[in-house]
Amino acid sequence: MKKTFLLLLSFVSILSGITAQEIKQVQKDSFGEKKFFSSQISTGIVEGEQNTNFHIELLNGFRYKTWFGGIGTGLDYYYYRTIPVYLSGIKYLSPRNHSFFVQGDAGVNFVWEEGNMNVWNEVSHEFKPGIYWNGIVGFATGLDRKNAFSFGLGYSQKSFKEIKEMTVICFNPPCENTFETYKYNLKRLTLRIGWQFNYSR
Amino acid sequence: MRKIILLPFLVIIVFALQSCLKDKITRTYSVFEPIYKSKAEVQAEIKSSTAVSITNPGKIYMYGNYIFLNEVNKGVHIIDNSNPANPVIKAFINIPGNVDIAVKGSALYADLYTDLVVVDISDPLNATLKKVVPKIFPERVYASGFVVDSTKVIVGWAERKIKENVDMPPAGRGWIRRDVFLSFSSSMSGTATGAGAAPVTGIAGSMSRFSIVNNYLYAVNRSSLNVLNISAVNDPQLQNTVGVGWNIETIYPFKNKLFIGSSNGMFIFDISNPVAPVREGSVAHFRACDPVVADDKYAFVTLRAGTICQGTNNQLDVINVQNVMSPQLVKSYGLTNPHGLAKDGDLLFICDGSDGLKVYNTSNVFSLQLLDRVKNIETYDVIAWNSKLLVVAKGGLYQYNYSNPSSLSLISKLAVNN
Repeated sequence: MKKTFLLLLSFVSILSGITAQEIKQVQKDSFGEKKFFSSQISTGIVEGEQNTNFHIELLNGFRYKTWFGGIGTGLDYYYYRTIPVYLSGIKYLSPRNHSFFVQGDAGVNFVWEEGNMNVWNEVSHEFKPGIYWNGIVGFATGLDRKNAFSFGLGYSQKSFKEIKEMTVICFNPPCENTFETYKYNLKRLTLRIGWQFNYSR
Repeated sequence: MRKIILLPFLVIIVFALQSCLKDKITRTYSVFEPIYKSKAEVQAEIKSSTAVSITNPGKIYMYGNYIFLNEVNKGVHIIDNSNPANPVIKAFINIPGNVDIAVKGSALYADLYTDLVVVDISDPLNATLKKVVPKIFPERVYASGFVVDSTKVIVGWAERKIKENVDMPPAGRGWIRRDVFLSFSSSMSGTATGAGAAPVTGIAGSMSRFSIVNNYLYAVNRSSLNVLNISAVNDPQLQNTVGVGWNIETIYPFKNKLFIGSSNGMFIFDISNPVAPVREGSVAHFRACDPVVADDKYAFVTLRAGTICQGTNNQLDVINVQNVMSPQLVKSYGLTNPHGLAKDGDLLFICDGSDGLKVYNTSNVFSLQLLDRVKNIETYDVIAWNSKLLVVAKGGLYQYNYSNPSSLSLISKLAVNN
């Protein structure tokens, strides 16, 4: 899976190079309006110590000149299926319709349990949300006034807490259960491609 | 051009971050280690002490105006129930490892790990130890995985919090504790003298492992039925030990029969000769924990699945016991997490764990009718007597009036103090 990630990374890098070359020729500002609503849907993979997995996100907000601010959510399948909910800020390095950008996301990460997660001696599971953040550098290229394609590479962390209630060997009930708490801090690389819809007039 | 230079820089960042792909998982758990005292010290402390709050209620025994409530592995609360609307905890008797109790006259019988102790409770506020009968419950030499030293007794557990970094557990799943045997587990048992037993010496819940019938105390351990003569209440004499089977769990007396629940089935013993119980019939079932109550025609057995109970079914089995030599399963009813049960006439009360307390009309065993359900309590055991229910639940000791079985009314609650 690591090889897949590196291959994808190379592909994105090459694509980025080609598109960047085009910037020179397309000296056109498609974002003529100063302020407009923008939606982004992106998907990609997350690469961590454990494995490589899939994520998908939806981000909505307003762009003002070279700045974007919005709120996002999605699904992140790395290790446990989780739902990050975050505030996002993006700085485009150029006002043109082809531009590198730097993105920062920060928010909360919720676990979406997958069926009955109890093993034989577990009575219950409880997940508590933790922090989520993601730092991304990427490139966005406008296809027309309404649509833009973007890709980016990031480094992210998702955290959450798992509290397990477990039974112990006990021949005559009632028996006291014991508790274990697991605190997860999962740091991963993210590779994403996305589509932007700009609701400008 | 400047932007193109960013590309290799970006790739370098990505490769550099590869080394930062660390998943850090911290596991926090408790390990409990035994606190020992010498047997002499423990026996000297078996006496009434100041009343203490209920923290982990176990089995119950009702005797006259008193309720004896086991505090799992710690001892017995003596509760004055002269006014059921206002029960008062009068005293506490320290008995480490205690899970089962029975009372006859002025004697309280209780287990202390492997031993049976007799406590004189003629003055409940000044109870005194009268006798120790050793090794009646040999399987209880183990306490939460620790072998109880022959000269010492585990009187408590010291908790130690441990925090450690762990490797990745399999995604989406926890993994089995390595220290399961170091963790605290409570165990308990009790005493049963059913409503049909003669003469009545008291009433116990169906989870009991003790039963008093006339001048005999019957106490089951993992595989045997012990018969102790208690004609002299403070001086029980072990007179017989009868092999029953494996994984014996509960005992319930009805008239001249003993109904014994094991994890594999139910056994019926005749005690016409009280010293020499004779096995008459049995019914096998899948593996589960199974307290039992009975009347002249039917035995009602709750089967509970779970870790130690094994099995996967939670249900009530109704068994026709009119021919005790060949009891027959009549019908099974699905339940959630059944524990103790009690019967009064056609009324059947079932502690269904977190699903609460359920009241059934059993006049037609082929179609039990649910009359009422008390929700929001996690029930464990129940005694039904004279239109009053004593219910042990996770939250404490509850008393209900069941004059109207379709609408139980709460009389009082002695809450657990955590």
